[in-house]
Amino acid sequence: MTPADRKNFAAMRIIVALNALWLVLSRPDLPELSLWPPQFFSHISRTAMIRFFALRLPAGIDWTLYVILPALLVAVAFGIQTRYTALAAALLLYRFAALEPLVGTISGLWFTCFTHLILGLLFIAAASERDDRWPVTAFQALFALYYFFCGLSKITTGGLHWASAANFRAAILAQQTREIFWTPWADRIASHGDLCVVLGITTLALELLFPIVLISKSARKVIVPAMLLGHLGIALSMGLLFLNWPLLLIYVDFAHKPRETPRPA
Amino acid sequence: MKDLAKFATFLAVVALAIRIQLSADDASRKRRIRQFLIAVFALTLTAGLVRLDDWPFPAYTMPFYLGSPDTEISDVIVRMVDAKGREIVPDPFAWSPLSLTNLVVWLERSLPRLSPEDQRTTLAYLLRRAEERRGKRAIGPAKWLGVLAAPPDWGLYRRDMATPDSYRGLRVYRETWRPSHPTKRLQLLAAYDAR
Repeated sequence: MTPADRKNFAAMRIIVALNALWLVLSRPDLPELSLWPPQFFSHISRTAMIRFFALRLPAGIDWTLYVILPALLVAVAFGIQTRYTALAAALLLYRFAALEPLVGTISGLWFTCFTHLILGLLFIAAASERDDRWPVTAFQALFALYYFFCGLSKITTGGLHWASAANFRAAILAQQTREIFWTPWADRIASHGDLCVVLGITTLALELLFPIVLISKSARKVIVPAMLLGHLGIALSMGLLFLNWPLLLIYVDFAHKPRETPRPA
Repeated sequence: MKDLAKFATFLAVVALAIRIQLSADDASRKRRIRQFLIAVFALTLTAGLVRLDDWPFPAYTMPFYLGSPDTEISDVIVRMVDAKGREIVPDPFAWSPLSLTNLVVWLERSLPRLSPEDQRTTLAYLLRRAEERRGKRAIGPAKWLGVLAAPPDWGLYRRDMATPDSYRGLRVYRETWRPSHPTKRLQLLAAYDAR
């Protein structure tokens, strides 16, 4: 790795580990699930339990593993033995991510936002000092695909009508009328049809064009901050916070040095 | 079997990552990195394009498509019943580590499949947990990180801590409404009363 690659890889390591740590520390009672009555788990098939490493372990073992997980993530952030710590953290995240969604629906697994963190940790585990920039570039590409597929699913579900004022307004009002979400901007946005259209088109464009950040540094400077603002807007208008928003920081070039301007003679 | 096949894809990717670490020289290392990346991106593209569940390769994208504010939508909701018989909106963290999203899915899909006795046992358990945590702010996701905690399922929930009377029951409803006319129709799905 060149010093620049090393710096960007260290940044990726820290961003992925801290994002995962934030999510793990925000679920402090996850291992308690093993103490719930068995009726809550009776519908889960044996094969699903195996697939998600979700076999019910004694509570003490679950608690021990759950305490080890933050320690591993801190080690990853500091770059300590990442070939072992990152791999172990990825496997433990895989187990704990599924425990709770399996009770309800595995489509809930997406909401745990552990997907990219598990894959990112595998990239970190596989990387070494001998490598060039592949771990960072590959992870950037992987995360860019997430946004692209979000845009694509909107188009395949609703076509261009997805970006209409009616649909955008409907999505915001649906969240607001659920009455359990904090939606301070919902009224303000939903009552302006033109604003809804602009936001709808912008959302679709940002998501579908997001992969451009992989080839254009200028596009990156516009699209990445715009996407962060988009997440903020969704949080304030729909009461939904995308938990992987810190991963957008992986598109920052941490090794970039501003060009020195020549001094006047 | 499908689950096991999906599990195998994840294990294969983990194995490919470990193989990179065990490379003897740069040439084999480069080859193994290429194989690892081809596997990760092939699985990600397949899951994304076909919308196939092969978690942790991402497929669950959120279209948020209703079409119009007049489209009818429905949710399953839980209401607590206090000692005075009033219905109260519960604290969404009351059943943590189970998120509200997954709890209502379980109540809708799995509860009806249980025997009447098991239904009573599980609803009584949910009532007891909600009562133990009534009015407490530092519970569930907020226990360690407080307001800085990540919400369990993206939801930035409103939490009303002002519930002075103890809970004596729990009701599960299907609620149907149109976002443009938020008058809601309620259909009772399940109820439990501790009295």
